[in-house]
Amino acid sequence: MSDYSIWVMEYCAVENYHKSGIVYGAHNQGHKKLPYCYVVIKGKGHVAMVDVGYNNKAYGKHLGDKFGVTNWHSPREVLSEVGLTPEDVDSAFITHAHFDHFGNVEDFPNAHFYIQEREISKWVWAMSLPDRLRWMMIAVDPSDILRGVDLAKEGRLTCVDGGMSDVLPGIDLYPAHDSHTFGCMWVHVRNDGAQNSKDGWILAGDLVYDFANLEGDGDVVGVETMYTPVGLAVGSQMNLLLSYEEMMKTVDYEARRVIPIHEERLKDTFPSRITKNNLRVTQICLADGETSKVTGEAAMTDAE
Amino acid sequence: MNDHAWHRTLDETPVLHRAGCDAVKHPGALSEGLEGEAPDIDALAKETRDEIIAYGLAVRPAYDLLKRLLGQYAGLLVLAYGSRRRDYVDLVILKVAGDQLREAAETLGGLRPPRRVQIHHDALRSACQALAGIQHRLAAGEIKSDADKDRAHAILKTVQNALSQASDSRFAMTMVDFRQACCCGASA
Repeated sequence: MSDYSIWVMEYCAVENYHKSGIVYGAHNQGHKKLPYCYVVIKGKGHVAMVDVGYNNKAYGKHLGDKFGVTNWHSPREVLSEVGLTPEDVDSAFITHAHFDHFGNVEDFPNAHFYIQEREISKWVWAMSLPDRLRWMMIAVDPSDILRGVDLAKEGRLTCVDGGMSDVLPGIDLYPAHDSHTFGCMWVHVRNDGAQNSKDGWILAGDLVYDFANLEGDGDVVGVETMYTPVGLAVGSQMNLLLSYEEMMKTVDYEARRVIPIHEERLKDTFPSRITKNNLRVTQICLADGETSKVTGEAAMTDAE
Repeated sequence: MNDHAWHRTLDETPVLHRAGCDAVKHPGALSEGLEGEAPDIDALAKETRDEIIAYGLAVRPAYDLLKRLLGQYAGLLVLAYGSRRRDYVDLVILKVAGDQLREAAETLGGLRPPRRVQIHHDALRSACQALAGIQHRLAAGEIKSDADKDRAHAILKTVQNALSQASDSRFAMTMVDFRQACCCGASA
């Protein structure tokens, strides 16, 4: 029995991202493609997103010109690949407030948003710091925070303080404070609905960029694999590693159940297809009764 | 990024706004500062590109401070509306915000912008004044009711609009500091 379908939806990409940003310490090891994605969770009468991407009107030209971010497509185009519209989305779990995760709330008019309270309160603090500490303010757009006020006013924003069980039936939120950002969180989908789920999926946000973060080469310390954190931690690498351990423990150390959304190689583990806009849809799991969006008719439609 | 009057000045195009242009039609607190006299075209011609560049470099610290203050006040409002906390106003942060406001005001007050970019300077000065109003009300404990918060929110929106208009990536004046954004570390 599976309650939810989960798809990872690419909405743009950087073709050549430096590997040291993805895996801590991977200096001078070249570049790799970094897809920008969000996650769609559908089931039990709900459509939820994990992060909402960024608004191309605000950032697109600069990102394209300066950083090689290409092929941005709107949520309407991207979600249509799994038969949904932005209006269908009723919940959005924001893993952290970076502009490429929290930068497009206006495109989801019916969604209720969830973000860690600490993510907001610590950004406020960070923005009050002197210039010599401004590295801590990276990648946040004050305009996004202001749009958060709109959501809060409309009663569409919940500031979560720590963990939250059953935010939707069988879906839990876990904090990973002072890790990638001050108030990061990750999402656990218990797809069999059981408290000790044997069919759980973790949507990791930017806590995990790549399979190598969870199963990095452990040669250096004489083990087969080891956790190696992402390149960027506003908090600490230690907290990133501790969050990996908590995620892995939650899924009985089955690494494939932790989904890194910036990982191009998801396609090697899960069925996927390329859309007419040259974006990848990766199908993590299907709810009972849901039809595949990457094989059969969906794939054939795509090929036409 | 935006492509407004301020940007075009460096491309040798006169600053002319059509009636109803957003750049001269901000509602509320900013409108006064943005409805100045039309520029004197003869005087404009004498201004050099170097003067505009010098102004851009000198004004950036004030822009940065105003952007950060916008984020701080917006964050406080998110907490005021969206969390169960009642102590969302941190007095230490508020004191620092007051210092940042003074610094921004002093920077702006010390600049004599070329006439061609006077509207840019006016917009930032008006944004600074609007933020000072928020600061004053927060410090006085006057933002309590939903009506108070709504008013503060409306003012912050006008400030955000002004700062967006004043953004220019050539001077690293962008709402996100892309010089160190995590997901954009590779040059094209």
